[in-house]
Amino acid sequence: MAAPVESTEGQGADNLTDQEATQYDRQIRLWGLEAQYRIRKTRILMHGARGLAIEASHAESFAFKCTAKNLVLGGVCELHLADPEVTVEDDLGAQFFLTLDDLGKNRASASVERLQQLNPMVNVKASATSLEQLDAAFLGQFDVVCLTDASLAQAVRIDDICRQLNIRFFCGRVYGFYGYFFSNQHTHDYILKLPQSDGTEAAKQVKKQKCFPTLRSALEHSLQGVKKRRCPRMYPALLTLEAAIASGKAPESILPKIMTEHHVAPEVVTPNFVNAMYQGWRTEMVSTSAIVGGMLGSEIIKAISNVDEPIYNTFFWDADESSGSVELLGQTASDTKQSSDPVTPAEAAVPVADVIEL
Amino acid sequence: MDTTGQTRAACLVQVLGADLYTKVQECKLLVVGAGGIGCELLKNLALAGFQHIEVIDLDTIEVTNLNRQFLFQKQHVGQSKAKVQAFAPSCAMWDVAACQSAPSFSLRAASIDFFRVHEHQVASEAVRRFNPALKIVAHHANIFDADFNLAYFERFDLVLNALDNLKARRHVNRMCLAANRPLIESGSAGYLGQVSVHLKGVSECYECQEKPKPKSYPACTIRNTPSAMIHCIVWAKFLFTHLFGVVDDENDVAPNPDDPELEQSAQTSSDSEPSAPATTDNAEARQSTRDWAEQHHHDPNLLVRKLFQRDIGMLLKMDNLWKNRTPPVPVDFDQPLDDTRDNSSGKLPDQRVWSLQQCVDKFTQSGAALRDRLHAAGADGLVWDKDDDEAMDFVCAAANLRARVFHLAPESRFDVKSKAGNIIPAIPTTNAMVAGLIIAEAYKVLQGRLEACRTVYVSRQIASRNKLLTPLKLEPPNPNCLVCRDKPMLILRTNLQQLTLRTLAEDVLKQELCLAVPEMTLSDGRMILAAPDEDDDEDDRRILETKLYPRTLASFNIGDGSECKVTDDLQGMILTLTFRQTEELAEDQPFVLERHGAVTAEPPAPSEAQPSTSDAVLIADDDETTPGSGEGATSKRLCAADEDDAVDCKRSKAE
Repeated sequence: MAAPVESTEGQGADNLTDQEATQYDRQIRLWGLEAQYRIRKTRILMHGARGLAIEASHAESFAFKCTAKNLVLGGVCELHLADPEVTVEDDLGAQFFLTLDDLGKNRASASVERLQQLNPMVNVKASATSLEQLDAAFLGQFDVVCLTDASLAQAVRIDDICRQLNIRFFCGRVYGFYGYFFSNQHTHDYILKLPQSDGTEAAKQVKKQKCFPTLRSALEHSLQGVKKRRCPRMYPALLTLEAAIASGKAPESILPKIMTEHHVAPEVVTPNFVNAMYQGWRTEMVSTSAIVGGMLGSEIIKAISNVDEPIYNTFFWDADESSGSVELLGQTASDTKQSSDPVTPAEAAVPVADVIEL
Repeated sequence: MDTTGQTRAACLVQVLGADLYTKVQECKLLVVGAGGIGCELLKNLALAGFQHIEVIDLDTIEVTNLNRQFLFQKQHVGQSKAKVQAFAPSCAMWDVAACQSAPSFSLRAASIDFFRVHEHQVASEAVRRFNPALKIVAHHANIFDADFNLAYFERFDLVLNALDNLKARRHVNRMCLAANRPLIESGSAGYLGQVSVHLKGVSECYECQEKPKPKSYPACTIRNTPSAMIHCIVWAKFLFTHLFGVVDDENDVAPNPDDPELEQSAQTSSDSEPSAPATTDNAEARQSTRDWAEQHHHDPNLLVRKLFQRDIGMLLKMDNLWKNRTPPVPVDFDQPLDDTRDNSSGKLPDQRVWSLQQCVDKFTQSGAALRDRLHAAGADGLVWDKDDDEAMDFVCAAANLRARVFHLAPESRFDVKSKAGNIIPAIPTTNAMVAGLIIAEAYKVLQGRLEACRTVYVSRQIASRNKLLTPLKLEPPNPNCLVCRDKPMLILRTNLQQLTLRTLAEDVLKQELCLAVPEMTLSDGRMILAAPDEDDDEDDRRILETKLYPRTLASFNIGDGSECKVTDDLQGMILTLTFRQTEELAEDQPFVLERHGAVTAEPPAPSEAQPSTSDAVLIADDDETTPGSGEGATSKRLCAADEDDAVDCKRSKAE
């Protein structure tokens, strides 16, 4: 059910208070006043741990906390935290919003106060809503939905609903030293600032558009014809890991099937690699969470401010290589006619010949 | 029993392995800086299981920091006045001293608001809550303090820099080299960030590649012939410091009759017309603006007329300047001033350009307030700070008045602040990523896997192939490095008859070479500069200041080809300086410092382009960098991410 949206201050009035102007001074310099207005009006749903039997799991979804933290600092209007789980002792070691007093309380509602303290100007809410309860009526309250600890099956279901309601969809997860997130912003219009030739200030702005593939399509992505050296090992590894988590089977027993189905060049992913990933998958390393969460938070801000080239469409962090890479997974409706090389995302952009001189 | 700690530990052991987990627990870490990156880093270290951390930081909390420094909240601004007052005097003294010796520091909110809580005190408190086993020692201090000497650095296994200024970064780099401790450097500017790993003899030190210098402008352009708004802003900041700062006539803003352009044209244009300023005004021209202001009790109404009417009149008399330029038009205070207000909607009040009348009003209002504050401050004077509203109003009004006089488009306070404060917006997500990358590299350093360490660049757009976080293999040390090479040699080209010991000590050794406590010994054994001793009293310092500092190098019998040994015991630096006599340097450039043998160094491979630019972002944490050092700066060098990528890069070029 759509809860009434409460706001701590006047909504819709397109002016910032002096306090806001001072606090957001640096952001306004970065992405402009218009974008700050848009950010201020945005309602975001952040969904935390759910879906897997992780009662005894030790690390809560820290990526979610990093992300939420960064979004609150950016000054969004409403942030709704949803998590059906209660706080257990294990959470305290990883979740810095929780204290001993919060044991037995709902994780989301226990975190709200500290999150709210970070930025009193944002309306932070909490609920124990589970992933299964995320239906069209509930999701319809939001402009952005972000799942940070969902199974791929639930994520696909929710991505489908979000596409129908034109809600921007993100999902991501951290597995020990590794992590990823996927972004579906449907048809996304944005403004690209072109720096001056001397690199100082943006002189021109260009309107651009990108059409995003669905998560369902992304999960069927084929790596046929991609050379071994260019093949993103994190993608087949992610599919293997998620299948192992969902089924309880050993990842190495799943790997060969995934490799065949997605036409992955041999030896791109070794059983040792997926086994190592699987071993630590419940523990969210703070470094990984900071990196993936930072990138995800930045991406959500980009999405709602309509400024800057978005990540198109999946981000992988691989700590072994200190590498954060972007892959385009899946095909958009307009892509299906031509089977162009999917590893060149830049060409998929649809530039609009509309240049605004500032 | 602390079961929480145990379950968390079991998890960490599973991911890290028992060996690395033990190393993490035992590791003694030094974190330098507790600002945007530092806050994130402290939180990460606590959650990653590190237990022995010391942190050194000097800065204070400001409202504009709140958006990205999550450990601090609104209530920390202006909190705990009594506590802060207790240490405020020493704090203020240091900052003033730093501003005098290093202009780069003056950008760093140098004027101390006595009622701001010091960051690290709050930061360490907040962080300790995450990890009760954590022992964190916080120093509210300057990293240049003699307390943080070689023995201090040797107590740590790893040093993490989260600084926002070049000078402190260079100093920590030297301390780590001297103590032979690995250093992880970090920096961010807007969406761009960087993390790099430095270990003596294994990889480049922080100074193996020269860092780009902050942009400076010729004094004559600033004082006589501004042609861009930035010139007016620089002038206005000089004006502020000259009027309200520590008395220093070198920064006078009055018209400069020694403009070489005047001299040149006087020679070429024979004797047809007098080109020097009219003699009637010479008396006033020779009087510094500060003296004039004090004579007139800093009356802002008189000051505004002097600066924007009479001084401009004097400039107009230097008619050679205006042969090929549009002459400036003094403000006519006898006529009603234009007061067309900018009422456009959809803008912040600060984004509206002031009318001429508003500029004059703001100038006189802020000028009067600053005068009163100067009287209260006494000899220390005021220090310019972009977040000091009166100081910012004054600079914005003065810059805009000057812009109008010189037919330049006026700018809003919002835009002037960007330029005056060299603001590169900082965003929390970049700092979060950088702090995460630091931990990722720290694990490898602790495992002794230096070969696996990478310099990682955070870019805004996909930089090389499909990378947003691009790894680069560590470079070997630069054999010509001034810092990590054994006993480097330098050549100083200058006019030995003019260069004073003061300039040599303050500008060359402390500023350019970033030495902390330099000593100089000539080849005949005479020591002409000694590090201050703890026993030194005021008299000794006064002798140095009054007797030795004003002497020229020639008066010490330093001639063309003379050598001297420069040492810095704190940083463990020893270098040889060779003096070369030259009289061909420009007015604004009293000396040129060269690396001996640097000329013969191999030029960088064309595919890697200018490596120095890729480090530009390291200068900045938050607000303190030259604009434009960032975007796209990393892209060229990123081609060489690894061997595979390098091949790709060449290939794509061929295609």
